[in-house]
Amino acid sequence: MSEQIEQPLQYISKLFDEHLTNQSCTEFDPSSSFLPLLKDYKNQIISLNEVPVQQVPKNTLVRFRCMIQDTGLGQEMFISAYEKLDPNGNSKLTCYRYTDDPIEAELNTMQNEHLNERSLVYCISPPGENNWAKEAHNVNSDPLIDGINNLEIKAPNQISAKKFPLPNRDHTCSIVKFYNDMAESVKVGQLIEVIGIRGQDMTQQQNDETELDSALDLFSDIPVLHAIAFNNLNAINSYPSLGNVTHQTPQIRAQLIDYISSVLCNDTLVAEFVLLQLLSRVTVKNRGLKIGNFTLNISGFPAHQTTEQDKKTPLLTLYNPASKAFSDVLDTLNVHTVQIPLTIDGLNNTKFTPKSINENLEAGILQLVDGTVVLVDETVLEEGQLVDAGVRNFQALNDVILNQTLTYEFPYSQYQFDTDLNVISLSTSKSMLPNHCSIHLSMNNSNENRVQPSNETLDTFRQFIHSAKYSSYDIPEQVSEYIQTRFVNERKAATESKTELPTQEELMLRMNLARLAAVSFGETSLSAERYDYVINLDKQRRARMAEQSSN
Amino acid sequence: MSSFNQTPSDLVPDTPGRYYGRRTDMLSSQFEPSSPAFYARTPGSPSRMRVRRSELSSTLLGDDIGATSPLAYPSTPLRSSLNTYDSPQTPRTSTFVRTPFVPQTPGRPLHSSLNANDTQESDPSLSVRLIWGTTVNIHEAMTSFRNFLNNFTLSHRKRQNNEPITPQDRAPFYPALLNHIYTIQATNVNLDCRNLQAYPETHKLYDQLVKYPQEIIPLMDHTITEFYLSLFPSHDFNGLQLKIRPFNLSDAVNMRELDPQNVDQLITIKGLMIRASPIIPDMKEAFFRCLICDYTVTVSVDRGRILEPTRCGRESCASENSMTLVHNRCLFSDKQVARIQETPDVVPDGQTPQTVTMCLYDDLVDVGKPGDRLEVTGIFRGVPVRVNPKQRVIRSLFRTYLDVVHIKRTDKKRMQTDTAFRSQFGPEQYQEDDTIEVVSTADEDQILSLSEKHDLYDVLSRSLAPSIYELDDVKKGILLQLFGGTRKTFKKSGAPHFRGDINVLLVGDPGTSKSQLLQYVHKISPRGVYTSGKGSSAVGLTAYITRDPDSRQLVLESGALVLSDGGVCCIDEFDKMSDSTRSVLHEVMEQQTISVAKAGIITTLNARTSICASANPIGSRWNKNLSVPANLDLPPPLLSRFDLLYLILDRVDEDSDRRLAKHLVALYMEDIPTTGGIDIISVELLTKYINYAREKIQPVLSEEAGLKLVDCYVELRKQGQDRGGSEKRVTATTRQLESMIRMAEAHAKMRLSHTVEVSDVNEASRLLREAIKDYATDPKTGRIDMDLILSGTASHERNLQNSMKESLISKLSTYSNNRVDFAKLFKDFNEQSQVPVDTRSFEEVLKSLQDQGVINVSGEGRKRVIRILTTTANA
Repeated sequence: MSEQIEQPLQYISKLFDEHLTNQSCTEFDPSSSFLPLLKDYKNQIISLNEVPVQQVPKNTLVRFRCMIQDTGLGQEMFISAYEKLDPNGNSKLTCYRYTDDPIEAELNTMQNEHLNERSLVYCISPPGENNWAKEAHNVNSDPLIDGINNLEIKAPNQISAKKFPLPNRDHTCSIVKFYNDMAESVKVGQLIEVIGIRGQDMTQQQNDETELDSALDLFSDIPVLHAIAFNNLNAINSYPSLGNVTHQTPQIRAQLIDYISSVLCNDTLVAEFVLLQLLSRVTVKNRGLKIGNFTLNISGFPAHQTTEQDKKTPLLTLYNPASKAFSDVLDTLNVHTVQIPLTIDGLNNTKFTPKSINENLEAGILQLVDGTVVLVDETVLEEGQLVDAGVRNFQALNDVILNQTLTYEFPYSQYQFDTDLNVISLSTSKSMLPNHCSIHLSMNNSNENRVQPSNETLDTFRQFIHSAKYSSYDIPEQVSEYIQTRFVNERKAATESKTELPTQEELMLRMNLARLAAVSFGETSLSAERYDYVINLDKQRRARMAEQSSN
Repeated sequence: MSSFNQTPSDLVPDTPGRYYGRRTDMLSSQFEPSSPAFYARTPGSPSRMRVRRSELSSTLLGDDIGATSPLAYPSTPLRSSLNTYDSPQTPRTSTFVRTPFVPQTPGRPLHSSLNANDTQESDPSLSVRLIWGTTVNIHEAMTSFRNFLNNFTLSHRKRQNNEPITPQDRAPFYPALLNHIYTIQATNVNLDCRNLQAYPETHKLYDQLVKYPQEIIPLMDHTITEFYLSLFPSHDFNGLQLKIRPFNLSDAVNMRELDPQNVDQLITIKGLMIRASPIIPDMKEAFFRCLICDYTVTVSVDRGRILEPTRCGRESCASENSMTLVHNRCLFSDKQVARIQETPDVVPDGQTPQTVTMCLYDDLVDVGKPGDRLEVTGIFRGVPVRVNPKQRVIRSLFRTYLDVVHIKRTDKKRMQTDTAFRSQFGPEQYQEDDTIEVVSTADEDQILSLSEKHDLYDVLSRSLAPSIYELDDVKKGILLQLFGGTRKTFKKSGAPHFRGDINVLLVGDPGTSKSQLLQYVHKISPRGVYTSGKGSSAVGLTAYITRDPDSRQLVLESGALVLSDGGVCCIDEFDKMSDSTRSVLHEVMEQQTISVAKAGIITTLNARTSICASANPIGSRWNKNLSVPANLDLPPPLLSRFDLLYLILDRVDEDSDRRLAKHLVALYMEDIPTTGGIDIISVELLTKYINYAREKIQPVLSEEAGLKLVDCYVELRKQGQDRGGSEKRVTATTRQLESMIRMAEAHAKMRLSHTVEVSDVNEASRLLREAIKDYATDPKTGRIDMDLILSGTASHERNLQNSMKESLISKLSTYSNNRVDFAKLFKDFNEQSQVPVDTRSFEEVLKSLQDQGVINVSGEGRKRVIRILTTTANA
């Protein structure tokens, strides 16, 4: 094992020799012997998420937890093996994968049947990953070394900074080279853990005669990682280490609502809706129709007068103390969170959607890992003029909220990518942004009694949220019948009493809430009682909204 | 510098021959069957041999590529890896040939089985002459191609595809094509590879062309030039040669599937050109002159390099370092490097598109512009990347690109715009085809078989936005809009065009998926543009002047309406549009042009676009007691320009409510919901089908259909007159008749029928009635009244207003001094009236009387004083 970790290329070379005895060299794939390492010897492999990449020597086995940012870099044709003379003068077929070292050899020793190709994919460390998650991933954490590593002065790279969604944030990036069709299964925005070998940083290739610089030339000095294998970390797997917490669901649920409400003026109704929102995700995608996304707006949030000091804060940091406190709580509960304070400047000067400029796909703030909680703070928005960029950004936010799609702009074409972001918007009055459900914060009983729960409790909370979010759910036939009848009757009653008709949207909201409420109670199928509970919950919300509008 | 696009007269007389001319020389000497020099040549011999067609001897990456093609080493009969791999081009062996014709045994030339066909050649040694490293038998390839040129007829291909064959298809095709080429003095022959495949004896040639384009294309060039000269012996080519441009390979490779196997093969890829370099003068031959004795020498490009002579070649001079380059006597050709990106339809879900570099030469330069969808045929190249050009150390990497031999401009995903529109841009300089472009045959079969379905109409309308619940008639209307009517041009009458485009407006309660319908239309319509009325200004819709970032010149940028010329412009939130924006639509929707007068530019742009719009009612929810114009914040003249106006209302109906609830609940169940029924076709096929119909079918009204139209129209008109003529309502105007014609045409188009039948008219009239019934019904009388849409006031209401006016005047005249307070008048008037008069209509009547100059109103609000002006009004 130690050879595999310390001398990965030699180990691969051995595997290759074994492989050659019975098969042709083109089908060589050592991934199966490396994948178990990620499980069993994780702590012995250097992680690029923790160690600055410049400190890692070439040809070292590393792992990298990352998000796919761009798959458009194309393929690279290379010689996967060549005849090498060993000291005895015999020529021997040598593996030439997973490394960028130049070969001191004549081209004539290369056979074109060993010509192969690998795909280049640009990966970045997960945007918005919270500190607790980083620590949880960091299996051999040593505060001293981590501290030193964090002190490392990182040379700002203009190109890589533009390919990271969140401006001015530290991150690690790498061009990952995938072998053997592995890249066919990766998708933009996917979270993966790669095990591979650090290669030579990208260098400027001499191309004096092409006249048209390739996009790859932009990436000089970006680290390269030769992927041997990777694990998918999407959806349920995005959590560092998931235990089983379902047995104590009701207590946890109550505690969790308490915890959330501590930053929401002890408003447990709002806190319950926030919990439901954290449990939501896109459950069904069908011909552009998405079911399950649930954008929550909390109106009546305490306003904050923007001071000169606030204006100097870097982009994407909240400065309204109330939203900051709320956001801190969200940070402790979710793996990935991103805060977007909506300010005129922020809207005008940032980019929400990815855009390809000179064949280089620059990231936008909303290019995030699925399941990221996006907290949009409208309370700091003031009057002003939006320029073109601002209008586009606003539109992009609308698209994510309503359709969970993000448009990537390419020259002469646009691509829509599916997203699954949990958007919560905070506003002082009616929100400018669309939402599925708006609830007014009641500020009557604001006694400050915030107690920071212990790390163990927080861990239980997180695991509870995460496992409930991805738990299975169905609607039994008789409950379905019950819901239909109830809807039909309500519409009839509304016609008779000349009140407003319950609409399609309302039914959809209820169905959505029903799923979220059921899983929050640890139930895997909907019952008529739970449906009634949801209707009751929704009625309380409406009553509060009506009360607010009448005031 | 001299480029090859120049006419010969531009060249300095003593320029050492045009480059194409050399190629002819080279080839004819090289392939002269009896020439012994063919075998005798050695690799180091004449540099002239290197001058070849640009795309076949690319100089893209300088020293890395050279004349590595076997043609440059014609004397290497045996395969010897050391010799040939010396040159760093991607090595080629038979392993790259996926299905080699005949299993190749290195070192032993193969005897072809087709030797029997060889009648012209007596020397047996020549019949087995193969190009090194390939299975290409030179003689056999040339013979079979000549045979093909002589004998191929279009009927060969059409018979295979079961297309109708016309008598002229039976005539040999290529003599006719060359005749055409002779008339237009072209030098390129586009070779449709489907023809090669359809002709039984060239199957092998086709396979060879794909695998060894580097070798086969020069052979074909040579053969066709000879063939051409035999047809037109008098033609002086001025040393030039015809060039074959093969296209329509049997299958296009996806860009991301290009792999080492494709290196040096002929491939076709489809993509979107995103960038292009300026035209690069690519040196082919350098011209040197001795500074001392004026001795001149030309040096050809050798592997991307020019070897500058260090001493004068004249023995009596032999000065060192005296040779100097004379720039304007060198020979250049045009070259362009471009990047082509995958089109959205082939990019796998969740991935970003990839790009490929391509090199364009000579007359292919500037054929495609950035933004064009292209189908490119070319030779895929891979060249190694050196760490340092001076060292042998390499990084085992290969750079790949495409040497283009043919470009076809396509727009496959979206429906094609009418060819008539394209031809208006003037005759194309670049001939990209030998025939008219058609939907590929497999698709055509599918389309034709689909058109024979008895429930075609239902299947198509169901397939349109399958995720949207019900709304069958709306979908049918939109479907007909996508097909469109026939655009008519009249030479004699005053109006030059009659629009064939059908405009549709969707109105209704919020949450009835109007926007989704629009989005869907936008996705599949040709040149569809989607805009929201809220955000778009008049400028955004029409055109605006902007400065080009590169050239700093003012340019006219098209807005949404111009961009959707020949397509559908989808406008969401139509009612939220500002008045000035809306006003441009008046012109667009009837005249189909846009007049721009901005920044000194006055012009009229074409906007032959159908409009599909959606609008919300004034009070967010539809008020059933008000008419359409009262519910909508839209001026009646604009409303009347819509052929179809659909009300999508949220009605309470137990059955449909239950179905809806069931549908929604099912969506939330974990398993995949079954929306829209089972029997639907894919978006791609639907698009293709619509594309095909729009392009191929221009239906004409049949006699009976015409009569039926008249009947339907008269019937529609009659509905307003059936009450003894005492009260005339307009139930239909000529606009409705025109709409009906357009829709009947669209319906016929959908059936792929060239004539409009009675059944088409029936359906058109049914759809129109359904739509009219919904939107033109006066809610007060319950009858259809076109006046509602035309003027905003129902005839019933107008009558009411008139009688109110009369009684008001008679009332006014009863007051002393003919004047009265507003409040008193309103009160008295209401007392006198049998039905209560609301303030709104009272105000309206006052206003109209004031406008007529009958009364005078002074003061403000409720303190107004009304005075009658003329006593004659009493009468």
